[in-house]
Amino acid sequence: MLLQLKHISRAYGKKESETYQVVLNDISLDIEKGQSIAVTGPSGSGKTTLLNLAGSLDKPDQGQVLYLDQDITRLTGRELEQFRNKAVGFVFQQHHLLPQFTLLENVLLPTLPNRNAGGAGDRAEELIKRTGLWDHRDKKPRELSGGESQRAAVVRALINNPAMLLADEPTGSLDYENSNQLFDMLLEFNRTDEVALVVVTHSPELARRMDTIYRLKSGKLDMITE
Amino acid sequence: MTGIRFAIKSFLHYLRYNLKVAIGVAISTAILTGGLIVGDSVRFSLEQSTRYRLGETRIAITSGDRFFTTKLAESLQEELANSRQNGQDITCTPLLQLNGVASADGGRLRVNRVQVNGVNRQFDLIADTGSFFGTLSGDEVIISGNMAERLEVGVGDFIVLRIQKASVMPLNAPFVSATHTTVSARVRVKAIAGLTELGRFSLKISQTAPFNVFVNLDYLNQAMDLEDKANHILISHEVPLDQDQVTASLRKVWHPEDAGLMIRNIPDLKETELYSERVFIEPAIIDAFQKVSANQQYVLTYFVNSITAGENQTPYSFISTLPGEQSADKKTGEKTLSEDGIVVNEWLASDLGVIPGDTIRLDYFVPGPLRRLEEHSIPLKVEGIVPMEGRYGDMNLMPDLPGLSDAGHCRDWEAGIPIDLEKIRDKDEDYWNRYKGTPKAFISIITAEKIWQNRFGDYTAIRFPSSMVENELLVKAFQDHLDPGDLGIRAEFVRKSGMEAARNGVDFSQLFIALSFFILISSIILTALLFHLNLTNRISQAGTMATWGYSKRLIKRIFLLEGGFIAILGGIPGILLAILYTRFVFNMLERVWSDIVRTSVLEISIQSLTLISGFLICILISWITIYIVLRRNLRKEIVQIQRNLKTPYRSQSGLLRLLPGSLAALISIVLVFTQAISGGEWSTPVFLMAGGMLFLSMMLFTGQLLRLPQQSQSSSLRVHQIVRRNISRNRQRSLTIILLFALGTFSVILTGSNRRDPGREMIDKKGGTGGFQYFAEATIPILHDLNDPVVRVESGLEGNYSFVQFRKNDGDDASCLNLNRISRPVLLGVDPASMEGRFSFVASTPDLEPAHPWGSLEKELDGGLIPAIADQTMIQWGLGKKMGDTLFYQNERGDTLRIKLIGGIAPSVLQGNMIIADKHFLNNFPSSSGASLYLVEVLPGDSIDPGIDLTRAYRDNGWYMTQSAARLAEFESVQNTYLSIFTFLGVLALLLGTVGLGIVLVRNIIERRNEIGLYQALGYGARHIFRIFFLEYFWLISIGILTGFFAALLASLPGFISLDFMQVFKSVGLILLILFANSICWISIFILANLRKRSLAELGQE
Repeated sequence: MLLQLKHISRAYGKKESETYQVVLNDISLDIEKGQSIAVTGPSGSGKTTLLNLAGSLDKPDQGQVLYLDQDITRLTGRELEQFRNKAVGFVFQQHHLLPQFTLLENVLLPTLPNRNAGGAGDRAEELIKRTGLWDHRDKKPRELSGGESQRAAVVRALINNPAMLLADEPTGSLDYENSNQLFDMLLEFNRTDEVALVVVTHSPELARRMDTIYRLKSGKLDMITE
Repeated sequence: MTGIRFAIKSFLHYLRYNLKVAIGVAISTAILTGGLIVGDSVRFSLEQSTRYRLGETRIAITSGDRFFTTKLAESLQEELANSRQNGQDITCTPLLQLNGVASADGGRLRVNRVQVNGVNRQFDLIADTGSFFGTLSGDEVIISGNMAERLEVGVGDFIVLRIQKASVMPLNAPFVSATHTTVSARVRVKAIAGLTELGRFSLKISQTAPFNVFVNLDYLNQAMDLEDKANHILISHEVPLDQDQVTASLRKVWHPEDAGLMIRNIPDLKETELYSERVFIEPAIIDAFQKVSANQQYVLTYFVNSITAGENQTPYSFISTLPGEQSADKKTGEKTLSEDGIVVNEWLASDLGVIPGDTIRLDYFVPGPLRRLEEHSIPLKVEGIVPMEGRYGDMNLMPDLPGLSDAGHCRDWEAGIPIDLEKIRDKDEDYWNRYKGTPKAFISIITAEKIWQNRFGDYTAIRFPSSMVENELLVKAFQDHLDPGDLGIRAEFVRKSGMEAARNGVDFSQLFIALSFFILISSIILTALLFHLNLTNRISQAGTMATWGYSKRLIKRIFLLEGGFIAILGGIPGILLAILYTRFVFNMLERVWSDIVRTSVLEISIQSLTLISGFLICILISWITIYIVLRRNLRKEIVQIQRNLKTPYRSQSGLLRLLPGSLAALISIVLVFTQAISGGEWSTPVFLMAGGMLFLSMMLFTGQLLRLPQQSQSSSLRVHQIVRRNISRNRQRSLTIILLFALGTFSVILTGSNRRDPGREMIDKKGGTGGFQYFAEATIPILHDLNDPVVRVESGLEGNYSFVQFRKNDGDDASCLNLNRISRPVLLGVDPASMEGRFSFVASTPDLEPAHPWGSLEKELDGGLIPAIADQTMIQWGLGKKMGDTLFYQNERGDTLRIKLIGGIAPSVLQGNMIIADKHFLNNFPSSSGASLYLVEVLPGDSIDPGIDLTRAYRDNGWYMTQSAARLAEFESVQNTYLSIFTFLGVLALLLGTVGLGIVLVRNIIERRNEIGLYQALGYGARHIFRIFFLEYFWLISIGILTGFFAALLASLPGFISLDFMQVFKSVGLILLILFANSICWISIFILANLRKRSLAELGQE
């Protein structure tokens, strides 16, 4: 098993206060290598929280997050940084490309802390070419379209060859056509590179293209299709 | 991709924003580095001032009130040259320096405190002027530029000099005539000496330019009836010389003439006599010669007013010690003459009609301070009558007393004592014509010592048997046993001490950085604000970087690197700005703030080390700011960083939240309470601290106030609710605005309320003037007691005054007007009784009697310490000393004089001087003649203008009189100037606050475009939107100004209490009004300009 979320709970606000809100309540989720998962649910249901917990951007109040059987909630800061740098790639609703860098540079940014990232340039070239962005490699983010920027963000997420790609509403800011193109690309990487793919999406149509669909509602996670 | 590349690319990409931050850095750098450069420059200027006043002089040999021969300079140069390698570079220049007064245009233009310098061609070597001074001859003079300006004269014009009469005898010594204390001369200006021609020549440590007149040395000697005399030797040298070498060389080459000692042979008596030009021979000289011969005789001859036997009286006669008595006594072991015995010559025996066994009475004067004479009498029994021949008819026993010994007739006597010419009979004239001052009677040496020894010396001559003692032996004894220091002739390393005084003087670096405290803090806050705003924009990038696995350290490193580039971008122009700022400050110091520097020699010195230091400090400040912002943000969860979300406020209990503010308030209250119950004078530093604590407390409470949850209780929404929410929304920015304005207001109000008005202390005996209306100085000391009614009548004074008279020895002005660090301030001697009840004491040691503080000066302290009182401001700031500390001087005998500070008086007209009792002063400086400094109290009942009356009476002494209040104002002008600078920099701090306000306001308007659009969509008019923004910032500024105002009010409470409340209230109230008006104006301008810049419709669309 690549990643296991075991009996995870997460709440916000101070207990016993009016603002206290349980977002995830005793949730478990298994992610296998090369698997593609869609997480759907209404706004505020905790989809992003779930993804953040899976990617170690947040810590659960209760439960365990096991990556290759190792509980990442117990990792030190340095180990967590390495985990985020090497094991997981993030794609957000906004592309978060840094405006000061070109597309190629943006793609290479995650290799900076990775001292063993030899051949990063070749891989960047290969990935950029695969996504059809090679001609745009020297462009700054402001010169790219929304779709191109988001594709570049995916390439950046994959530059360190992660085992898992976590995408939080990656098509949220895109039109229908670009959304489909991006999903095609994500699924291609999922199949060819065996990268586990977890996508949070509101779109049932896109969700149906995944191996498994989960629905998150009232703090509970239900598998809808397998 | 590397971290450096990341930082460079980011820096360049955000250059536009970074430039704004760099401007903040540039301002901080300019203020900080500028302060450092000002300090360097003032120090450099003081050092330059030392070079300008000393020329090539390294060492000055000074002799106090004595004179040595000019030949001594030549001999010393030769000796030093021979004793050193490369000694040919050493030059020794004689200088005769005297005080004087100069006038021009028939006396309409007058300059007091003039240094009259008798120089020869050697002086050109000191001044490095080729042949400028060497060409002076006859009545030609070279004068300093400032003097030419003051007297409105140029080359070829004539001026009148009145010069202190140089006398080889102390002027207050017994029988020394004080009729002619000055010599006047009409001289022609040959040239005007500028800065490079030693126009500022002075051996005193001060940055202010003296008035100098240079005259030919021989001409000055002639004018003074001297021959080849000087009182200084200026030594310039390239090779190193130390104190011991100079002293040893001096000792090797000096001769008895250099100590005013003369040797003459008296063939008839087969005796060699050593006598002094100063009449009385000092104990140090007596000691040096005491082992020359077993048969030497000490002679003490004195002038008595009368010798009386019954009805008969012989007036004005010399009496000496019995010749041969001492050797005879030694030989026989018996007394030749008893202590109450006298031997008279035949002439006197006949005149008085006495025979052995009769009793006669001697009446004689004993001189007191300031030529006060006390007549004493002694009855003596006639033990013998001697013929007027041989040793009893020795004319040489009479000392050389100009005006007396050289008088042709008794009626021409100028004896320094009142002579009643009516008493002089024809037979007295006959005696004088035949025998001159040959003593008429002889008393025992023991009796003579008892009644006639005085502070000027013990004997009038020493006699040696010529057969046993040759002149060379006496010269050898002189050189072997007498040190020049024993007579107060000492070598001073004037260049070294001048440079040290300049380097250790008022530290303008610290001063300007301290004065710039608020503006510096404001600029740092502004820089921090700019960095903060810049980073807030970019903080989501840090979050994204964290999702890629960037460690916090790496993120910080990249941002700090970028911050370093920004700091460099701002630091370099900041350095240039600092130079401009220094130029501006110097310009102000030369024109507006000249009161604190008092010199025209101000040169900017830019040192690379200072620039680097300032630059590095600013980079450090930038880094610390970035680090704090990053640290605070990186503490959040990555998701929060990435989305730039605020950390939810960790709710603390109400008590805990208010603890820091309450603690600061409590400290403030306790400090004020302790002062209130102490019953003593309120301490300014304590109130300053209390004000600072109140400031802190108010800022902390304001911070908490902005955190308070706001729940609307009413069903309607009002503008003030929107305003309040907006203020709380961005708490840090709101607090920054409040802080910037609070700091500016604090500094402006604090300085505005501390200005001093000296006029109010005018007649207060306990105030800074001591209740004396005038402070006066005499360039040439006045030898008489001005409180003596007879003296007043003789001086032609019409008014009725009371004087406190101070004797003065050479020292340096240690008042706040002198920027150099002085180690030996001018020492004043005063009669402590005349000072009782005057001035207030603010510091003391247990040696000071609270009931009679001035009387404590008479005390003899343990270990030979001499008690002293001085102005506490001078003790603390001018000397860097405290109560109980000891200062070291050298007295006239070359002994170390240890002065203990026992009392400190509140700021006064006496600032710059160290005051000891007359008694101690005269013990250590017995030759001191006359008083030079006066405090004058005008007694009621006269309508005479004291200024005109006193100046007319003592014009020839260079009487210089100022109103005490004006003198005090001069000192206080220094403090007021510092306050002006502080106020000015406080206003600049407020200006920076306004800049900060502008930045935050514009930034907020841009960030709240959507909000503005929404208001529009909801139908708010432009007036409403303006009102919301205006009220928001008006409240922030008001809180800031009021925080600063109340804290400053408390901090300056002691000042407020002692000042005219209404006057202060008006001035502070006015400042407050200006502050508010200025703020309202700027808020309106900023809001209108930015709301108009983009049309509201456009903003709404966004």
